[in-house]
This record gives sequence, structure tokens and C-alpha cells, in this order.
Amino acid sequence: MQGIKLSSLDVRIKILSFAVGFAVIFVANNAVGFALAMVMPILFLMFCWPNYKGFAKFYLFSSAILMFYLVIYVLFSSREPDSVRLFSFGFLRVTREAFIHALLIYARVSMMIAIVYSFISTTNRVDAADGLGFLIDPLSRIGIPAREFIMALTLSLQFAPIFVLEQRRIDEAQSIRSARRPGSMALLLPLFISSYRRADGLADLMDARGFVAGQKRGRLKPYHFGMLEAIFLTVSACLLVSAILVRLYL
Amino acid sequence: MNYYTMSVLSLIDVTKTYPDNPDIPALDINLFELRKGEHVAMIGEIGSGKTTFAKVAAGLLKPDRGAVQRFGSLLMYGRNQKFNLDKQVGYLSQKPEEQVFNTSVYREVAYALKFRPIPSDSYWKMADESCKIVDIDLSYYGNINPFSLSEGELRRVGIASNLVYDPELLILDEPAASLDLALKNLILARIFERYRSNNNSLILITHDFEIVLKYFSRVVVLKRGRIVCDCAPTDLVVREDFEAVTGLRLPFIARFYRELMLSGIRLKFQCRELS
Amino acid sequence: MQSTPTGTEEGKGQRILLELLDVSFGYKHEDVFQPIIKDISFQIESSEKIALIGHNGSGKTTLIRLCLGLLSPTSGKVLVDGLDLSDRKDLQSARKKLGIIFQDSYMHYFGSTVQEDVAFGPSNYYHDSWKIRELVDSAINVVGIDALRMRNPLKLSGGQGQLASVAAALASEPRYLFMDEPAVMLDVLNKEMLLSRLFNICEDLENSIIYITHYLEEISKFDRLLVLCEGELTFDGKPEDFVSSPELWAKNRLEMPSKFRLFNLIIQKLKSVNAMPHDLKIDDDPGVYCRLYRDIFGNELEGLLL
Repeated sequence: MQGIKLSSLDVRIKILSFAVGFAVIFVANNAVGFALAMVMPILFLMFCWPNYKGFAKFYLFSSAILMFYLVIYVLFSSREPDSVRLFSFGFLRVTREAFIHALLIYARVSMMIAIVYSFISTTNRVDAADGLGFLIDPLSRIGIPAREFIMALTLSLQFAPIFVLEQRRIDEAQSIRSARRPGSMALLLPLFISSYRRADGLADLMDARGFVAGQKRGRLKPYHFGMLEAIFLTVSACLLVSAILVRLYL
Repeated sequence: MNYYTMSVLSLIDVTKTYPDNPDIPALDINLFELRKGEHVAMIGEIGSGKTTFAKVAAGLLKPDRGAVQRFGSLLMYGRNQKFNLDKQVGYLSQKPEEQVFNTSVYREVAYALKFRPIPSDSYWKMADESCKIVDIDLSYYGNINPFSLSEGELRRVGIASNLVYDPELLILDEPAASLDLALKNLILARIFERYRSNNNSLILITHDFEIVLKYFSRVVVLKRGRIVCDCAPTDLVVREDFEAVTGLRLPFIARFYRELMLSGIRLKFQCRELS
Repeated sequence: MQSTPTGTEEGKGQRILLELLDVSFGYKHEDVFQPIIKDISFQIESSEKIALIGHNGSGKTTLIRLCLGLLSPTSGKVLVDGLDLSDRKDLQSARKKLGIIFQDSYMHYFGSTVQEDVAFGPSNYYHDSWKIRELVDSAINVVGIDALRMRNPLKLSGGQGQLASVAAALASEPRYLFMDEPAVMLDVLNKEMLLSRLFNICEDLENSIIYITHYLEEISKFDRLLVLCEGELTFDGKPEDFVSSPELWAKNRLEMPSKFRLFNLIIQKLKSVNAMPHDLKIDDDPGVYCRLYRDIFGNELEGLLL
């Protein structure tokens, strides 16, 4: 496996594995289930190798927020008649059920964070939208406007950074006129207008370069299905199946 | 009159670096001064820091180091930033039509007046004067929705709406770049004339040396964020090393002028639009 | 594919020609038809370098959009190598032969790298990744921006961005390349460099360029000049002929740049004095102009009207 960049996993398989990872996390409700659920986050985290600083920062930050809510949850959760009291002061009661439940929530969210972060930091967004488009394409055969949805998604992803830049430029010039600090966003209307104009120009350029909505297009970096993809697909399938079985029979 | 009331803008030891290019400062100015009534052109190649300069002078960008003084008082930033509600600074960007958002030309042009201590009964008059600069007849266009105008007209409305309050310091960042030549010359000529007659200060940022030769007696050359020259255009144009110093190519007519000057003939440049 | 002058036959018997036949365009505003383009006809063959000029609002951009099939003419036809642009079926294949660089192309990009952006065009016409890759590489090499290949298009400087747009437009191998003021944000030196680069590229590829500009001094570098005035095509010929007729400029609401005024001034004086043969070409060195000027006007302090 040396020299294979894990994050070069074909984006379609990545998305599928992402979905499976989440599914397994939610299906799990006992120790074995959770063990299974840990597999995908760990695999995804391997995409980030060797830079984990970003993940560490993000995780710590999110944990702090999560902890805050969980503490409140544990202290104020509703009383079940036969829950075991761990300790209490005044009207605050900490029950074992609530405590365990909080732990479970924390575990689940942590795993989700791992998957989401690794995915976002190693995947080109436009590529991801494309890959998603490939996967949900069959839906268009049953009347769901999948292709149009994906196109809208892709365009907004492409648009967003330009939009932000433009908006800042306009805002700066506006701020002098209306004698306010730039960035206080007192006026949103010029933003909408500029985005409309930009949309027009973008549409023209796409048309002129031969874009036809809904038509299948080629790709510079082709979709590939190799060893890595096969492994991930197999692992995902196994995980999903075992997770369901564990839930049903354990 | 003491010196400080005469100085409209000064940059002292100002540096600014952008995060995606941390080794090379975008702007690195020891001293720059602009006095009341003075007009200066700022030229430089792309990436020389002209736009950064414009933004710092306008107060839109905070320098990493150094002080910016306007009308004698130090510019503050952040929550201390008081955008002067006087009619002090104007900023004309490259695409003024992008700011337009009102539903009538009159409201758009007069918009900036609302935020300044200007009596509302002079709104119409000031808007009209501003429109005259860009060749727009407010009595005809006043109630028209700006968005039904052509691109050129919209651009002109954008220009007028930034000039309406007669700022004492006007910063022009390559305005009218894509207007056709006739209109561009006309509008620029009118702006410069107005600013000569009302004794306000003006900074024009451009890479069109022809305009500089025509209208300015002081030009500042920026290269890699530094001021490499601050002199009269006529002195600059005859320099052998013009292109090395400025990083710009002289336009044809300027080269012609230079050849003539070097062979001893001085030509007077007249301004067609206003004669 | 060899190209010979007029009407080269391609394999299928099509003529290699971009044709506008009596094209008009306008729209209805409050029941009144507002014409923007009035009955324009012209033809473009391969390897032509054409400059298109006109006052603000004369319809230049509209004309380009008609040529690209982004707008449908209200009457008349636009034919690209025999394909009618108003025919839905042919539109996409016709577009392959048309390249466009808009003024703000540097702001619109597809993909997070220049390479991806250049690939957008070919990916609409081909499914094969190898072919797409080939086209992308070829376009990038021709324009010479290999160093920018993996850069984020948004972070390029104005000049680099324009080069990237040129590569993106060339990637689908168009025969007719339209450019709407591509050099407007560049200074004189970069404008000249871009233009000479474009000319070299198009000579090699045997493309035609149709170049809209407000920077009128450039027109003398082109083979052919089209002038629009209020929606009508008022001039179609050699730029030199247009430059030496100042009355045409006024009629077309165009202002003559100082360089041409100087040129005409000198030529006129030479003619009137009849002193020496005037072999002054518009694009000669200022030094040549200077010598001639001195010889004619001596040391007169003539007020030169700029």
C-alpha cells in the first residue's frame, strides 16, 4: 500500500463509503456495533495522513462545544421513574442513563466529525458534486430532477468564492458613499444584483463553450475503479451488513 | 495657514503585506504628501501596489505599520473608525456601475448626500451638476430606473453618484477604463476641470501615461510597492530609463514627445475637449 | 487540412466560412420594436485578423453574441461552416468552432485549477479523458502557461488570467476566436505582448481572430477592420484606409487617438508641400515620425492637439 495516496480514492466510492459510515454509526447500539462504527472514521482519517494538526484543532474546538451541551443535557434531563441516580444536588439530578446516553452521543458525533472533516479536507468540492451527480443519476429515470439539482449545486460551489470577492469590492466602494465602515453589510441589494449579472455572464460563457444542460460530459480526470476502490467497496458492504445483523441479533 | 491644514493626505512609513505573498510587501512607502488643491497621478505596472495605495488612502485598508493622516487627523480603524460624515473623501472604483441599486437615477445619484451634512433642498442641484459631468441630463433621466439603461449609461450614473458630494479628496482608480475614447476623455476632462476650479485634491491611478501628460504636473511612480519617482511628467518622459524605472511602456505619443524633446523641440500639449 | 483562400472545401463539401446574412436583432419595448443590429452581412474566412470597433452602444457585444448563438437574430441567418446557429441540433457542433474570451472571463472559471478550467470546453464535446487531456495540454503549451497549470484561477494576476482564458478558449480547437476587449485591464506593454502572442498562435493554428477593442491605436495591427455605428456595419476594409479618413471617424462617433492624428497631420502636410515621398507607415517608430516632423515643421512651436 506504500505510495498509494488514500485520498485519491475515486470520489464516488468515497461518497458511498461516507454514507455507509454514517449509517453504521446510527445503527450501532451496543459495544460490537460501536466497534464496527469506528472502522470507517479511522479509514477516513487515514486520508489526512500525515497532517493531523488541522483535524486536532477542529476536533478540540467541536468537542468543547459539544461538552457544553452535553453537560446541560445530563444535568437537566427528564426523570425516568426507575433510572439510577448517581448523585444530585438540589433539583439537579444526574442519572446513569443520562450519563451513558451523553457518552454515546459524544462518541457518535466524534466519529461523524472524523469522517466529515477528512472528506472535506481531502476532496475537491466540485469533484464531489460531480461524483454525487454520478451516484444519484439513476434517480432521474424515475422523475427526480437529479441532474438539475447537481448542476445547481456545482454552480453554487463554483460561484461562492467569486461572489465573496465581488461582494467585498462592491461593499468597499459603497461604504465610502454611505459613510459607514466596510463590512457592516448595510446593503444587500447590490450583492443580489451583481450576482444576477454574474450569473448571466457565467451562463453565457458555459453555453459558448459548448455546455448543454443535462447532457453527459467527459472528465479530465477519469473515474477509475482499482484495487483501492474495490477494497473500500467491499469493506463498506461488509460493515453495513454486519452492523445491521449485530443490531438485529445482539 | 499652518502646514497641517494644508496637507490633505500623508502616508508616513506605511507598509502593507498580503497574507498570500508574505515576503514581498504590497506597499512600502516612506513618505507621501498631498496638499490641498493638488492633483497627482499615480502610475505603475500591474502588481505595483496602486490599488493597495488607493484603498489605504481611502481608509478602506489598514496598513500593517505606519500612519495615514487625512486633513490633519490620524486615521483610526476598527471600532474607532469614524467615517467622516463630511464631504471629505470620494472613491471611484474601476466598475462604478456595480454599486447601483436604487430604483431611480436621481435617487441613486443623490444617495450619498443623505449621509452628509448637506441640506436636502440642494440635493437636486448637486445631483444635476454631478450628472452634467458625465453628460447625463437629470431632468430627462431622473425618474428612469437605472437598470433599464445601457451599460455605458449605467457606468456614467455610477460615476456621477460618487462625485455628487464634491469630496475634498477624490481618489480615482482607473475610472472609465472601458468607456469609449471620446466619452472617457470628455468625462475625465470635466472631472479634472471641476477639481481645478474648486481647489480640491485628486489622486488618479492609471497606467495610461497619455492622460498623465495631458492633465497632470505631478506624477508618482510605484514599483513593487515603493515610490521610485515623484516628479513632473515632462521630466519623467524624457528619461532614457523610463521603462526600467516605471516598468511601463510609454505610449506612442509620449515616445514621440520624448524624441522631439531630446532633439530640442518643445511642444505644447493642448487639451482639445475644453478648448 | 489545407487551407487555401476563399471557400475552402472541407471533406463534407462545407465552405470554411463564418457568414452573417442580413442579420438583424432587436427587442420589443412597450410595443415598439427597438433595433440593435440592423441588416448586417459579412463573411470571415480562416486566418483573418479582424478588429471590430464602434462607439459605446453601437451593438458590438450584441453582434458577438449573435455570432456565438447566444442570441437568435430576429431576421437573417448566422452560418458557421454551413451550420445554421438557430438550428438546435447544430448549435453545439457549431459552437465547437467558435471560441470566446469575454471581458470578464478571468473571473469566471470552472474547476479549482487552471487545468480544470481549460478542460471545461473539451469536456463538453468529448467523453474520452485522454482526448480531453491532449487538448488541454496542447492549449496550455500553445499559450505558454505551463507554469500556471495547477494554480487557482482566482489568484492569478490580470495578465495571467487573460492568458488562462485564451487557453481555455483555444482548447476546443475553434476556428473563429472572438475576443471582447481582452486587454482592457492591462497596461500598454502587456497589451502589446498579448496581441503579438495571439497573432502568433493564430497564425500557427490558422484561426481567425475577431477582436473588439476600445484601445483604437491597436487597429492598425490588424488585416481587416469592421466598424459598427448604431447597429449598422459602416466600414469593412483595411484599417489604413479608415485611419486616413478623419471624416469617417466623426460620422461613426469615434474619436481618433493622438497617434493617428499625428500620422494624418504629417501626411497632410507632406502632401500639401509635396516635398518628399511619404512612405510613412502608421506603425513606424516614433523616431521616424520625429524626424519627419522636424523636417516638415522645423522648430515651430506648433501646439499639438492631443
